[in-house]
Amino acid sequence: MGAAFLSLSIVDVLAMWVGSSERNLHDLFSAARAHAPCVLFLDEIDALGHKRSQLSSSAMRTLVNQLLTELDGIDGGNDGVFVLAATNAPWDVDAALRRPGRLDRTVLVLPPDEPARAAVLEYHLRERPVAGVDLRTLAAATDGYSGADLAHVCETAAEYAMRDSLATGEARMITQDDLARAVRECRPSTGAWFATARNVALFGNQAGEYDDLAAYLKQRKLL
Amino acid sequence: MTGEDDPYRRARHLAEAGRDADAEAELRAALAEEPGDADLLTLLGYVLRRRCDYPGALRACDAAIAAGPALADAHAERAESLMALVRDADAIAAAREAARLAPQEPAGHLVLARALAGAGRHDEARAAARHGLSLAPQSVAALLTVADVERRAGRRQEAERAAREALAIDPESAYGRWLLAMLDAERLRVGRSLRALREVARDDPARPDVISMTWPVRSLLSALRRWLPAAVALVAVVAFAARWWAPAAGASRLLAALFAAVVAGFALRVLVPAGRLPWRCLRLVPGPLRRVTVGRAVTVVAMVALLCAYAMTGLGLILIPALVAAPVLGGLRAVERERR
Repeated sequence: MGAAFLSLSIVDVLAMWVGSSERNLHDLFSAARAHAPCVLFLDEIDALGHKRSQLSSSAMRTLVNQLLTELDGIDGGNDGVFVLAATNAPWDVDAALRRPGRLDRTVLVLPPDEPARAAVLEYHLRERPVAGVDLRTLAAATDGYSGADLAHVCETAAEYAMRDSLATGEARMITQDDLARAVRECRPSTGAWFATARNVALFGNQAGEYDDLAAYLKQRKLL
Repeated sequence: MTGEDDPYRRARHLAEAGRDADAEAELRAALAEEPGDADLLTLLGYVLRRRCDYPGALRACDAAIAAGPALADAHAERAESLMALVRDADAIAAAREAARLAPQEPAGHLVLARALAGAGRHDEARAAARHGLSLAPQSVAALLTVADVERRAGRRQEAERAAREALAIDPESAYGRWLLAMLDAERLRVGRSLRALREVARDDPARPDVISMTWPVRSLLSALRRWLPAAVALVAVVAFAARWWAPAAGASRLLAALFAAVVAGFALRVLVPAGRLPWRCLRLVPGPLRRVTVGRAVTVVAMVALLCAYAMTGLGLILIPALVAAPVLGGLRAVERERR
C-alpha cells in the first residue's frame, strides 16, 4: 500500500531520550504524520503505556500522558497515521489508552493452531536439510507451542543432527526422530502466560473485555 | 550515576514499567563496564528480588556493600532480600545499619520496622515504624508500614487508623486496601473483606493475591485446629467415664452433638458470606498449600462426622478414629508452616 512503517519500544525510547522522552515521543509522532500514510508500531505497549496507578515515577507517568496526547492528535491530527500496538500483557496497559479514538480495537492473537503450527514448522525448516519429516505429526505433538517455541524446536533438531554428523564424521539430514526428540526436549513457553491469563479472566473481566480469552481458556479447560 | 542518559535511570524506568528482564539486562551490561558501581549493584539486587531470585539479590547487595559500605540503600535492599529468605536476625542487622547510615531517611527505619515485626519483636517494630513516620508524616509507605506492624502486633484499631490515613492520601493504594481487607478478615467481616480483596485483584488481575482470598477456609481450619481435638478428647474422656458412672454416656453424646453443631454453625458463619470465591482461589494457590488445606478440611469434616455418628449411636469405638485424626490435623498445620 506504500505506507511508511515506524516501530518503537520502550527500550528505544529510554535508550535514546531519557530526560526528554516526551518531546521525542512527540517528534516521533510528528515524523509519522509527515510520512503519512504511515503505520506506527508500538511494541510492548504495556511498558510504554503502563497503568499510571502502578507507576511511582512522575517521569514515566508523564510519558504515558504524552502518549495519550499524541494518540489524540490534538496538535497535528493523525490523519494517515495508523497506530498499531502489541503486548503480551494488555491488562497492564493504562485504561485511558484503550478508549475510543485511541487504541480502541483489541485483537487476541492466540498460539498457533495445528495447521498454523505445521506452516510455522515448514517455514523454519525450509532452508535446512530435512528428510522424511511428517509435519502433521509434529504439529499434532506441539499443542500450546508458540511460534518462537517451534523455531526453537527446529533449531534444536538441527543441533542434534549436526552433533551426530560431527561424531560420526558423516553428514546426515535432519530426521523426524531429531524433531520428535527436540519436541520432547523443548517444552512450550506459554504455560506461565496462560496462568496469568486465567487470573485475568477470573478477576479482571467484569466489563467483558477478555471474553474471547475466557472462551478460549474454557475451550482448553484452563478456566 | 546522575546523568540524563545513564543506565541506572534507564534500568529503574524499565523495572518500574514491569520490564524486569530488560532492566536486569541493562544493569548487567552496565556492570560489565563498571563492576564496582554500588548504585547499579543495589538496583540489580532490587530487580532480582522482584524476579524472586532472592539468593541472587542477596549476592548483588553483598557486592554493592563491598563496593560502597556507606551506601544506606544497599543495606536496606540487603535487609529486604534477607527478609525474603526468612533470615530475620541478619535482616534486622542490615536494616539497623541502613538506619544508622541515613538516620534522617525514613526508608531505613521502615525496613527495620518490618524486619523486627517479621521476627515477632513488635514493640521495637512499632517504635521504628513510628520514628520513620515522624520523618515523613505524609508518606503513604510510612503510614502503611505503621499499619502493617500494628496489625502484626494485634493492634487492629491503630492499624486501621494508619491504613485509612494512607488511603486518604492515595485512595488507589493496593497495599492499603489489602491491609484494610485483612483487618476486616480478622474481625470476621467476611463479605466486606472479600469484596475488598476482589477489588484489589480486579485492579491488577495478572497478580491477584489468591492466598489471601482463601482466608475464610484457612482461618476456619486454623481456629478448629486447636479446639476440635480438645473437644474430641473431652467427649472421649466423658465417654470413658461412663464405665464407672452410667449417666456420663448420655452426657458425652450430648457434648458430641453440641460440638458438632458449634463447628457447623461457625463454618456456616464464615463460609456462607464468603461464597464461592475462596474455593475458586483455593484451586489457584500453590500445590503444596492447596493439598495441605484440602487435607485439613477433609480431616475436620471426618472428625465432625465421627462426632455426629457417636452422638447418634453412642458407640465408643467411633471416637477412636476421631482421636487418631487429631494429630493428623496438627501435623498438616506443621507441614503448611514449613512450606511457607
